[in-house]
Amino acid sequence: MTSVPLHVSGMLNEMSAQYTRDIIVDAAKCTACMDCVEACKQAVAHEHKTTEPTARISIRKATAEGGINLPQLCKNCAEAPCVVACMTGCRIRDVSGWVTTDYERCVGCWMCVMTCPFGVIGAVHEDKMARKCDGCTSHEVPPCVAVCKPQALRVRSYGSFAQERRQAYSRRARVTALPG
Amino acid sequence: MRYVIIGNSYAAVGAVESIREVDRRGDIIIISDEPYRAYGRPLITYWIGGTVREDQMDYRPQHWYESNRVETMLGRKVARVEPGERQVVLEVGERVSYDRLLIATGGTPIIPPIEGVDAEGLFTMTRFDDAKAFKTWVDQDHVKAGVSIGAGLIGLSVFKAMKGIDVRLTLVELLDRVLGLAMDYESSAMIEEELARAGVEVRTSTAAEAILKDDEGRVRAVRLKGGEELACQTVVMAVGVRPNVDFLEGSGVAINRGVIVDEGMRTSIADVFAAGDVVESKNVLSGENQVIAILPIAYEHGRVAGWNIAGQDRVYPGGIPLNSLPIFELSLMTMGITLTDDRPGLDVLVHTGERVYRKLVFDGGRLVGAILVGDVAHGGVLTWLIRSQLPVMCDRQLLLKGDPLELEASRQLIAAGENSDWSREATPELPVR
Ligand SMILES: Cc1cc2nc3c(=O)[nH]c(=O)nc-3n(C[C@H](O)[C@H](O)[C@H](O)COP(=O)(O)OP(=O)(O)OC[C@H]3O[C@@H](n4cnc5c(N)ncnc54)[C@H](O)[C@@H]3O)c2cc1C
Repeated sequence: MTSVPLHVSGMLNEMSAQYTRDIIVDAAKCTACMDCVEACKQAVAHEHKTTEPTARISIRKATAEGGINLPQLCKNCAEAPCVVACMTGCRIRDVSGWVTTDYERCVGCWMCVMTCPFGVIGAVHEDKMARKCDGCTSHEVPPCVAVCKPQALRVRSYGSFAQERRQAYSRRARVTALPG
Repeated sequence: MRYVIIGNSYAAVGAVESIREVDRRGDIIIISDEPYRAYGRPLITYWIGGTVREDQMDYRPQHWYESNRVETMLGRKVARVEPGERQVVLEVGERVSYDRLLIATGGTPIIPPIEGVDAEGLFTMTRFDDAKAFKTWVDQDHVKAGVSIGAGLIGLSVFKAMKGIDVRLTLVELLDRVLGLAMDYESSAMIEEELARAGVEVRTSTAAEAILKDDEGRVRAVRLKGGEELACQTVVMAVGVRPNVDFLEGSGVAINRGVIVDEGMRTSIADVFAAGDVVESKNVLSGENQVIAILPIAYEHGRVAGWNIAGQDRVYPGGIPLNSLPIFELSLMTMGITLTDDRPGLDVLVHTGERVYRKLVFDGGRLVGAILVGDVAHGGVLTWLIRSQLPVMCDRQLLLKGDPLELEASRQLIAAGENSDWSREATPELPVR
């Protein structure tokens, strides 16, 4: 039995996971223009082997009786039930902090579809893939966010977190610099 | 601190991932009699069928053991545990000492005591090596027909495997329908129809009485109650699994059907924890402890055991029985209480359509169970309503139809979601990420 040295990456991952990407939904601003839905479809098309790509964000529209337009997408749960229930391990939180899917290894057992409390994982039978929003973590800004004119979708990332903090600092500096 | 884990599967992986959130320095030693890195256990039948390659079986990335600094002792079986000495004793005689021990040994297939179970060509189907032995046997071209004894989750999985390798299959089931512990008559009938379409024969309400052998001791047929013989060259024994506890005899660890644990996955012996298919834990619907042998529960047990073994104090809130088994295009799910015949007082709502069956079971204002066949949309929402036992406030028809869920239902979704984070709910003071 030999012990192997501690991997630093594990620690870094955990730290960075706290600050990396999060997609924030500001439903009150959503106009249901469906631009995000279109952008999503295009962004995920390459992952569909034989099927027409379907968007991984949907909008529950306000009804005549009222309500608001509600964009629905993966909430990136902390103790994510879809990760817990994944039999292959293809669904896992990656270094970006987002729960992502390796569709090459998804076998379509639908265990995650059965446990997602938000109902945002869809079963694509022909491709045997349980598709959900994987955060488009390879894009600097997720395409759905990039096209959202009313800014109902926004990202928080390590970068914007730092920037927001700087702005907050400068605001505070200005306030404290004021006489009186 | 020296953590020793017996078993190397979902519960063990969950435990390691928790321990390392709390303790980066302690030593973790995993002992398992299987010679593989943790793999997706249900994938063994996919592997037989050729839809998953061996290099796609790993449950975690290759570097997982190294990144989490886990030492492994694979291919070694634990013969007994000696809590007095704080040691586990391997079959080869070697001793491994621990400060804290986790028993995550899962289940072992039940082999009914019928004549001929020692026949060559008879297999169980819970381990990768079982699948390999089976495939080697079946690849010899004398195998034309196979019989699965048991038409539960594993029996049906075997069918899927055999589909890929061109063996005529018969399922023999003691109950009067397939998946009879979770499915009602209507839904089983749909599955049986789907199986028939695929050329699988289903024999229900009958028992295998004996396995008949040829002169060389190989499987030749299965004899059913009443004398009928089903000619076959291989048999899969899939009548169920039971907790793997034999090696704990004499250890003092309290056992009922499975290992008895408290809400924090602690056994009756200090510093010995247990998790996964080997334990009895709370079913939130009955409030009673029972073995629910499914992988999400095994992983969650492991998470809670891992945090606690590393010194925290978290509680496992309990789980519910779940099944998901796609049979070709026909998906099926069962959650919670699904059989209502001997349970008066429950309300049942059913929606049927072209190859679609959705049934919801309510107990007063709460959803307690569901069967979905054909249309599994938003199954997770139902699961969380059942598990959280939140009162159902939205129009029940919306839940029943599943799609489209309108605004009202989505409000319910959000309410359910707020309670979805079982670990956080259990211990609100601890940050999860
Ligand atoms: C064919 C098949 C299909 C399935 N499909 C599903 C499904 O669709 N959904 C679902 O939720 N669940 C499914 N399951 C069940 C699921 O695999 C189990 O719930 C899960 O594997 C339990 O995990 P565990 O960590 O408790 O134990 P296990 O996965 O059983 O692992 C226990 C490990 O401990 C080792 N071990 C036992 N005793 C000793 C000893 N004395 N010394 C050393 N090592 C020992 C065993 O060899 C094994 O490697 C399926 C199971 C099978 C076999």
